[in-house]
Amino acid sequence: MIENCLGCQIAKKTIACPGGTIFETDNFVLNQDFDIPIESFFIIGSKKHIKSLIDLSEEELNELIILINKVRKNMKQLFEIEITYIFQDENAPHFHIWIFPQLNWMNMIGKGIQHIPSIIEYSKKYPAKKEGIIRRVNLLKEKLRI
Amino acid sequence: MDTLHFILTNECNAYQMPRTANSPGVCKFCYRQTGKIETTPEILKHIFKKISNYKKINEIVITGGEPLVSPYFEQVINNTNALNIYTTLHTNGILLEPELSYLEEKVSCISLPLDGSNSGTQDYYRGKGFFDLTMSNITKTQQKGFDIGINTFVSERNLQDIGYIAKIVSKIEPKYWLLSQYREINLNQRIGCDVYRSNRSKFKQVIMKLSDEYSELKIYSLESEQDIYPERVWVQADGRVYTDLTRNSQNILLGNLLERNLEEFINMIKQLKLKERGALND
Repeated sequence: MIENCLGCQIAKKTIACPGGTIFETDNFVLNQDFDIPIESFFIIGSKKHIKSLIDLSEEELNELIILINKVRKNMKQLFEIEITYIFQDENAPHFHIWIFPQLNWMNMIGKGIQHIPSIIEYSKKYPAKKEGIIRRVNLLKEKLRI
Repeated sequence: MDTLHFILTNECNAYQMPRTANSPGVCKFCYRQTGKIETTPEILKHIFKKISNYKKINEIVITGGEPLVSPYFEQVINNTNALNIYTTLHTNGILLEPELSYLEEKVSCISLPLDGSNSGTQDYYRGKGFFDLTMSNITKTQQKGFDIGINTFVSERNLQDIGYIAKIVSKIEPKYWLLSQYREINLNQRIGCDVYRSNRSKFKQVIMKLSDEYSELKIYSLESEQDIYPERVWVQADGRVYTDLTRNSQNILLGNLLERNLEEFINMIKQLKLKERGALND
């Protein structure tokens, strides 16, 4: 664990994301995004302090893709989210994957990756209800526990 | 007195949305007041205690601004739910979809705007993609079993589309369809609004025609014989109480609910309305 690394602190659960950890595997943790108040915006972070996909073993990569797929499927089933954007930014100090939903209201700002910064800016001005975010976190937690 | 309109916030999230080409802007026709409504959980608790002490309110309409942007939205919904009366949520629908499941047991009617029968018309007034969002909201709201109210803003631009809007509304079978024209109030905050003005007698004719053609719909407007809310009281989240009179362009501030009982305000409103009716009949 690296001191002052948000990703490490979230993985170690010394910092809690909204609603707490949703699910974890041997090498990854799933959470609601720590900072951006959008419902069903999920983050998969590595437990190890690494930066890139190339730092993962084949086994870890398999584990990751299965987890991404599981989350994505449930976003559709539970929250009727038809479109998501999946990113991994290697500028970030700790490896994590964004699973960013395209909610209906976001279509007003625009569809496509180029609109994500404006959507984030808008959602910081008009944040989703914390209670609503946590309700979705709890629904996903319950579903993934089964 | 049957209806209480609760103004939770003056803030609205629509204005930040991108407008369509040639449109003067998103929702520029809106006559909401600006200025922050200062409230706290304690103030809201106090207000709802006063409301619950007065037993004659049978409908509460939660409105704004956009109620869903208020951090106190859930507290207010829980309070209205505890009153056990018919509750309508008046929303632009932008943030509605993720809240629908939560609202299922707590809100009776969801009131949404529909100003066009297609994207070209509605998006001109409300911003890019608004028509698609509204239609999706209507479908999902109906699937969940809510009553639906439809609000249509009418100007010269969508007047030719009104027959097609009526066809859509007729299929929705809403609890009511409220048509309104541009109101000449709070003009200082609205720029480039001249495009929204429309001829009143033409509007009246349209309302009459629609009422004849769609007799099964409950159609309301300022021109209707029957007012959708004949005697209503407006309560803001900071406790201020207002009434609206036909002859006044602004709502009239009566006082603060934190200082007096709701019944006193209701009596004041009844007196004012009686006086107004007398004056109108003269």
